[in-house]
Amino acid sequence: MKTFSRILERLAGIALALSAAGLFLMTLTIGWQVFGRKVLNASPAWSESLALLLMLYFVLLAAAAGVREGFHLRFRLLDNVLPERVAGLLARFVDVLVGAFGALMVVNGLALADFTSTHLIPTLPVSRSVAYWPFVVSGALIVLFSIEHFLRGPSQGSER
Amino acid sequence: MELVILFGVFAVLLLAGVPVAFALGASAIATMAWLDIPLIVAFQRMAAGMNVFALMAIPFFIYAGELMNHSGIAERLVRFAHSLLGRVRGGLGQVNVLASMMFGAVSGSAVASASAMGSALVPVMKEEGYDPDYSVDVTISAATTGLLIPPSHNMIIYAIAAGGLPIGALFLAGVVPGLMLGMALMVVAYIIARRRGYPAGEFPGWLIVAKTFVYAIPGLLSAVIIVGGILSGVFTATESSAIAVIYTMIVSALVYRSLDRKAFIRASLSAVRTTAMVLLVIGTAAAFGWVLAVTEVPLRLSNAMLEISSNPIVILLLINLILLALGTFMDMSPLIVISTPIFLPVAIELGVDPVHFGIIMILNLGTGLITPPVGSVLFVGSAVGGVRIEEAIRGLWPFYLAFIVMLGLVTYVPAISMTLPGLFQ
Repeated sequence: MKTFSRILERLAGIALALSAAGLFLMTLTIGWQVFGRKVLNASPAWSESLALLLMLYFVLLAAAAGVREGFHLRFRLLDNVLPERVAGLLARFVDVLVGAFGALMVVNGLALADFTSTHLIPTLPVSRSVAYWPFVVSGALIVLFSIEHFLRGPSQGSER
Repeated sequence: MELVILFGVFAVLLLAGVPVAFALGASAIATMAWLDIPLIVAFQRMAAGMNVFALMAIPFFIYAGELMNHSGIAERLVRFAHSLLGRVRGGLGQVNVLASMMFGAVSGSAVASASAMGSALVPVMKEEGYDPDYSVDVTISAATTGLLIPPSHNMIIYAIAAGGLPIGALFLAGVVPGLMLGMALMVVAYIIARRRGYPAGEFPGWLIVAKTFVYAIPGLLSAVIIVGGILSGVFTATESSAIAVIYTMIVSALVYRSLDRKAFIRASLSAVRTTAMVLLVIGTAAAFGWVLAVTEVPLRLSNAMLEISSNPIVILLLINLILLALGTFMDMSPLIVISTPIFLPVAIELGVDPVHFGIIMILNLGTGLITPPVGSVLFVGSAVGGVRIEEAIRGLWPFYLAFIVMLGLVTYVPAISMTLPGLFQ
């Protein structure tokens, strides 16, 4: 369990680091677009599509890390009201539901990537399925983080 | 039946403590399963909902806010506000509101504002004898002025949800209500400060005012870049917000020399966390909204509302009450995405301008950010100020009163919002 947790901590860290790099690159991409249009008088055609792809990647990666860090907005009113056992069961239920959603992201992300594998993004030399891969990766991470949280139990780590 | 599933599952999951983003997605999926719609559609809508060029302004506004927060630009704004207003009785409260308004004009995120002002001012306020709950209350109510004072990322969400309104007009419409709200909060903060006998500082002299102003200029300029760029049509909102990020990086690294590698990484990580929180909700809310549209909820609800009354005063009151109630337990961005298609058609039917309606909605839902049980600005402000949430809300009611009065004014006096955008048309 400890090793499992340590690996996942690493994964969450990597996801966040990649995500931050993605945000930085997205900033540069749009910056370059403005520079191209205003200074070079030639708008790069690829900048918008690339920046949008970067956004999808970094949002979904960081959102997965958010499942582990517990930073997603949620309703906490019942946490302190319910008896500890019930609250514990409820926390397990939340883990299962979030994990199931992650699993659906993987399955449907794969299906969407498959459907669109032959479509090209008009302004970028890549297939449209590139936009669905982050759903698969993020979904898989969400499943792992939910399993970890479920196994660890709500007593340690639910209040992060 | 499908409505019972959609809203029922959503409500149950929300109560159970499922994060809002997942509760939205799961209730959409449950309803789709009931309606025999392939689940893949949910994820397609989610991807499509996040794949919008104008949405990119949100991470940029958040990023710029975090960079300013971590590089001391926020602090310089505080120092300037302090030199101007520190001498008033309970002056630090006034400083807090003014600095939040300036920060709102450069960052566009109320949460970033609450954490920036909270960490810069609350410790100083406590040190000078202000009660912790008052310090936090002023900070969080002042942070919401940034929702109305442009730029504001929530206005962008509204502009998209309303089917592509001009962002420049929305930004302009928010200026006067934002300034009025700020002034109202200053009055409230002053009255409480007198009652509780908070100290007054000394006026440092105009030389210091001028000096702190000069130090604050580079920070304030980013507001000029964003708003000026959009209004003049030189940049799109997304572009100008990206330029503001790059500008902030350059200014804080080269001019102020306050952004080292560590602070830069911290700011970037903090920005992706907040962005992921906001945009994941927007993505799953897009799937939820699609189910709403398929089941014709907006149409049915607006017909039902118009049957109750066709008097704009009554209907707007009703909409405001519903939004206030929803706002207490849901965050702003998902509510904008979900409720805009429901209420905007009703408002338009009654002759309310969509831009005006947006300002009503932003102010209304902004109040929800500082009300329990769920209020992100309340949470962040209390955490940064080291005050328990129950403590923070005890003295908050005079501020709520200011919000309600402002909401009434903004709702029923369209000129407050619409005069400025009218001048620019």
